[in-house]
Amino acid sequence: MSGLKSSSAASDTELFGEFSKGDTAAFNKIVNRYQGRLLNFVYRFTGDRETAQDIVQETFLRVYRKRKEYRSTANLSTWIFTIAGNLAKSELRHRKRWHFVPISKETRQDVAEKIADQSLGPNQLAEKKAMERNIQEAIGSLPPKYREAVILRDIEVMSYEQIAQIAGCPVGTAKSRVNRGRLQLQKKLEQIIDQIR
Amino acid sequence: MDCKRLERYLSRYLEGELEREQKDKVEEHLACCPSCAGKLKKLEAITAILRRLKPVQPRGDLAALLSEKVQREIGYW
Ligand SMILES: [Zn+2]
Repeated sequence: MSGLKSSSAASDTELFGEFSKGDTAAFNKIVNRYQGRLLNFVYRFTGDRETAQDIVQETFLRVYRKRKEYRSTANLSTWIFTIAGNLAKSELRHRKRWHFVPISKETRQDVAEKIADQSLGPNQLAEKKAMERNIQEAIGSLPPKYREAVILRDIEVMSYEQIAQIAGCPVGTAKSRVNRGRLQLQKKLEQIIDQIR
Repeated sequence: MDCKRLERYLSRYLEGELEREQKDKVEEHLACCPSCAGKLKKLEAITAILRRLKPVQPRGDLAALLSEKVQREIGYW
């Protein structure tokens, strides 16, 4: 592999430099660095894991194809999230209805989660699942602009400047979207909040 | 500052993003309005719940899959 020192030490800028010269190892590192966060963002946005996987895959293909368009003045993660966010939003616009997607084959992670869940009693487990479902449903019921802003701020823990760039709006608008999104969630999840506290 | 107006400042107050003057006004209102004070508490709880959500895990080897696709797409890699 070319010029990269070590995988963890390479900054986004270095990685992208290698990648834009055509280094597949650098591209793989970008994929491995961002796939988890992206999947989480898109999953929370669309509420559908299979769709999220597809969108993440398509995002990286576009990152690859658009590598010459990337400006090093922009933050790499912001750029990647912008591409994913746009794909997720257009998916939402084109989707006719919420379809049920059959659960694909179990991964080691799923099995590990199941084992961890076995320490809970059946009632607790049912409660935990219901709570997770309610939270995801509440997130999914937010208008897309608020949904995106809240996910980026509270789940991805991004700065308002980054959120504004990804959403293509002024920073003040990003702040107000986060606030409105949280207020709507608070109304929808009133019962859960009371349970937890 | 009335309740409706205060609502707009709650997140920024929570995140310590308000200027001194605005912050004082918010605190003045919160001190005498249990309803808004309650709302602030709930807003705080919401952000905590979201931060604690378990991340979904990627399935399969995406990097391998993608480099295969990319190589097929552009032969010279
Ligand atoms: Zn009030």
